[in-house]
Amino acid sequence: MGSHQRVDGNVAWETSGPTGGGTPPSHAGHHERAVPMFGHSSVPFFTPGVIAVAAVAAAGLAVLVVRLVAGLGAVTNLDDQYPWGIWIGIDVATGVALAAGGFTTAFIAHVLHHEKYHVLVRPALLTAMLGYTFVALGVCVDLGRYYNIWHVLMPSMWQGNSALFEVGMCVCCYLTVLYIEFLPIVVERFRGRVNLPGAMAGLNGFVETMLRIMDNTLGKVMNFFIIMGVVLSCAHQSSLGTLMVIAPSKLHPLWHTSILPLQFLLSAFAVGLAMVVFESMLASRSLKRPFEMPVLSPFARLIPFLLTIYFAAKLIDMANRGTWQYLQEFNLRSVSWSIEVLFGVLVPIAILLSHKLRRRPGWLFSAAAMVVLGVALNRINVFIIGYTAPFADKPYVPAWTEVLLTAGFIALLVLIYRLFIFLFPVLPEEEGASHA
Amino acid sequence: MLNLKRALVALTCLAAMTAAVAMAGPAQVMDPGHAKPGATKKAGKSAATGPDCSACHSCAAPTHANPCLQSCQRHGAQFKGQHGSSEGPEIVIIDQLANLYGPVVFAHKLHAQMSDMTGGCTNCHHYSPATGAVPPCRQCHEPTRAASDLRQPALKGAYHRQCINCHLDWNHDNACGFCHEQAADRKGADPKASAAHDPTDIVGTRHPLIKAKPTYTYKTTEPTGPMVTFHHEDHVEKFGLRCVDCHRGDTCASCHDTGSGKEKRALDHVTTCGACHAERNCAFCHSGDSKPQFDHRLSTGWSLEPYHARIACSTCHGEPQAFRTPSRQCTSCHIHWAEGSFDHKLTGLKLDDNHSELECANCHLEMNFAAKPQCTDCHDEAMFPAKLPGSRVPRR
Amino acid sequence: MVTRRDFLKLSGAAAGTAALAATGAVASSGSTSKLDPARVGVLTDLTLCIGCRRCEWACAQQNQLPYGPLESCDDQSLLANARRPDAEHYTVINRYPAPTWREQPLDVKVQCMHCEHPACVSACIVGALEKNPMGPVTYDPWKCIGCRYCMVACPFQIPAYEYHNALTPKVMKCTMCPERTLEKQQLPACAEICPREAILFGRRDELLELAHERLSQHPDRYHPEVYGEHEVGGTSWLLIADRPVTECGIPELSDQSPAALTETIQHGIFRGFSGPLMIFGLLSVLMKSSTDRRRREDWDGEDQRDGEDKHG
Repeated sequence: MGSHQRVDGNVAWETSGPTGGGTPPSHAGHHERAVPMFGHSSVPFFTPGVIAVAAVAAAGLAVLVVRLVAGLGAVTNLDDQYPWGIWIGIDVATGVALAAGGFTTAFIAHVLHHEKYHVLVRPALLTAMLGYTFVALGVCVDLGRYYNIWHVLMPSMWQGNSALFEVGMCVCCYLTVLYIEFLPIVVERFRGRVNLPGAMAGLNGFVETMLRIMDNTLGKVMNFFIIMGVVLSCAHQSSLGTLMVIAPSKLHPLWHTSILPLQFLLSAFAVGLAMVVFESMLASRSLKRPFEMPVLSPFARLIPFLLTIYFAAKLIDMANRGTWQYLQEFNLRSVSWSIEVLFGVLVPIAILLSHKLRRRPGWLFSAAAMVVLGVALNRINVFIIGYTAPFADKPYVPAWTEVLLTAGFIALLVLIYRLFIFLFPVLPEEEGASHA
Repeated sequence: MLNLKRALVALTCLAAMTAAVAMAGPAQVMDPGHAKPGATKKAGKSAATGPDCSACHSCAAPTHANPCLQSCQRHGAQFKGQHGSSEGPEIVIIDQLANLYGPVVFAHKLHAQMSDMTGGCTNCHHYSPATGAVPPCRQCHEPTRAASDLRQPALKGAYHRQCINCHLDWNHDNACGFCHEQAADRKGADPKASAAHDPTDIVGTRHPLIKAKPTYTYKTTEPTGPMVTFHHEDHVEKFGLRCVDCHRGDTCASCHDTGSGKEKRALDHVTTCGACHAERNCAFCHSGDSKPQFDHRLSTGWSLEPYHARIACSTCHGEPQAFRTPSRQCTSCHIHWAEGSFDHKLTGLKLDDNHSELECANCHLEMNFAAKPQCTDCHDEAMFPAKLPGSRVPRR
Repeated sequence: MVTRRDFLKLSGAAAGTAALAATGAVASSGSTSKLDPARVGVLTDLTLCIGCRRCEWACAQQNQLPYGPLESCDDQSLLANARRPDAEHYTVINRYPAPTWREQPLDVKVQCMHCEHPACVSACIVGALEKNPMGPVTYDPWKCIGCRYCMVACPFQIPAYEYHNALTPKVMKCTMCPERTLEKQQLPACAEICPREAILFGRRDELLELAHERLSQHPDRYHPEVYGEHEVGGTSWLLIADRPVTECGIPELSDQSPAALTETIQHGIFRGFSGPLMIFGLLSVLMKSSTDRRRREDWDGEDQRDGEDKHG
């Protein structure tokens, strides 16, 4: 697979790439040279599980076709009372939250220079890139006039008062930044190996030159994009919370607060890290590799601190507004809030604070999954469960076609993620197989 | 105003007329006719006929800057004219605004008489100078609505505020057709109903269509036959009686009285039912139970089915007031019917070849078609209708 | 390893964002100032409404919406159904029974209230919804991307959507007929047809004055409150009635526009991009210092790891 040993200036790099995922070179000696899984893993791309996931993705795409041909009304239970359903609540709001791993990891690894965690950067970056791509797709599917999406970018139609505009712009910019951050991985994959088929073979030299130029320049500007990514993420993660602040008479007081943007940001920090742990362990499991416990356990140590800050923000706000009284009622809202906080915040804090439990894969995975599901439930609560349509005669329950499309998109994301880790150097080479 | 309905119940619906005044125009009539240049012209015209400026202005020479308007109460105080209800017009046809709906034929005198019992003319005519004619509504209320003068309703608003206040109180029907004539070319109006209904029928003036029940049953004190059944629909639809034929001399209050103390009127036998049924005995109306509708077959032995049921009673019996019994001979009416030209299939019986050769009187003795045909002249045991002289065919 | 210092930095960044939000909350939005003092509005005097539903018909004619013939309005049974405006009805009338036998039932016309500081306009991502300085809240379907955030934002739950239109769905709501009122000096279609002038069109300030005049002159007839004078920062459409309209299907809302809070937050964070720039600067300093630290550590040989920094 060609040499990864290069000399750039006077610095010897033995790394996953020049700027791998915006990565300044990491230290050698560890087993963290990233490699494509094709040729480096004994696990085939297609397994029965993957085929099942592909089937779900295909079904979701079939729903997408119906939606495009027959309109939103044909496949959703949305109405004038409930204009937003799970396509916004899950595909977009939850999707953005769970893709927060990209910027939180970038912050820790690159801004704070914790080289140890560089091994987590590329998977997190890939998750973020794909996650945001599907957020954008999810938005487009939900938009009545999806073909007008470019209007958001037109300065003549900019609408600075809209929190949604802020989210839209930041997501657009951040998606670009993510693609740029991912470019080095693509460059690394192909540099020195450009071999276009047939008639395009004549372009080989040109593409190779382009790749070299990119390789040389990207490293110099990558720091800017890394910081940019963090800034943009902070901005739109919080603005996503601002979205529902505009509906004080509809969003249940358990969630409606003027510091909802802050809560969204704080929970995004926590869930970003938890998501990195969660998916790293999932991927290891799927590829039949050992868990990255030496990296994940210390990494996960941060999560309870972030969760505590998030919990404090929720608690102080609750005490301040006296909304604890709504918990005395027993209904869907109070139960959902309790689950979100109890299993999504408090129990994971307890688990992850324990030095012992953090080192046990089962406990670590459970805790990470709880944080992920807890924050996902928080987004669903804010956008769907906690939303009261003032004149609705029946509650919103997603149509099966809505669920199928959401499931299909998640399945498609998983498939593409798998494809990318097989094609591109994202995951570290397995220990023992390392050349280092 | 809360006890508006109580007043209504306690007195008559007419009391609501008072409320109309209060409700109809919530504010002073500010500056009538001064809002627009066009209106000024109108005001000037009316000035020639005599309304005095002091009705609204407290000074002799009001200017635009200083109009010195005085509180212009809408209430009776502003009606200075001395008119009795009899002096007004009988009927006012309100057609200045006819657009989506036809004009309103307003029974002015009727309403004036009703008003006399409460507030008088001032119930509606909230402004009128001491001398001269009572100004029409349109003198102040503009026919077209302008956003410039919010306090004074335009003509359409003024009319509707006045009328609907009372109408909504004693009759919760807000259908436009209650007052408005339906425009003839508009769809939805029942042409049959409008043709049959003469709106002047009841009181001599126009009246909206009344929806009566098909049948009324009365419980009387008559010991032998307490129940009297009156088939109203039959009398109107079948027998062709007009409303005034029976409802002669009814007063408005006999219908328009929603008071709780309403009592059933004792019927004057002689002048109402007796006018037509003078020679009948008591049992004709009175019985122990309700009576079925009039059935021509049961009462006379002559079934009208199928053809005769389609024609009006008066075709054979003349006008209801001059009732006559026609001959039972078909040819007394069907004068063009003759042997050889009559198609027996019309009766639902197609004669077979043998019988179609016969004379009518061979079976229908003495040409009496109402009686059962006789077969015994020719046949020993065959007897109609056990055996038929042909085959049944569906009647057209 | 993550040191306590690093953790403090991380939480510092969060606190910075929070501080920005808090700073923004102090600033006022003040975007009502662009409204024309002579802006128009509509006053519905519900005590005059008789539920004849002619306004529904006229509205449908004006906006090319499907509706039965004029006579179909005579069907009073629909009034009891608590209908809502939808993609085919910009306005509906609902009847609420009289609280006691002495009073009349109340017929309530429901339509877009044309807020003075509309949440839908503030929410709209592309400015398809706009507050005309003269009063109406207008909609431009050409700009619209169909996100339906306006429907989420509207406190009156008025905008409706053409969910079954696959290609060109529109947000549907009352327009206040600007093509009639602002261009031709006509009344809105509903106001023009209203037989009793229960729907009054005029300058908002004059309507407000008139409404208060009626309330004070007939305290026996009106509930002493003009709905829309203060609600959600004021609405162009005003309501007066014989009882609180909030008992009759009109939502009870605070006097602050829902948009005021979000706009305050948005402008607080993003005014002059100060917030993002601050974070950007903070992160740059952080990155630089941690890079320097690592380089020092490397030189001092304290760190055993043998990676090198590209800034080295």
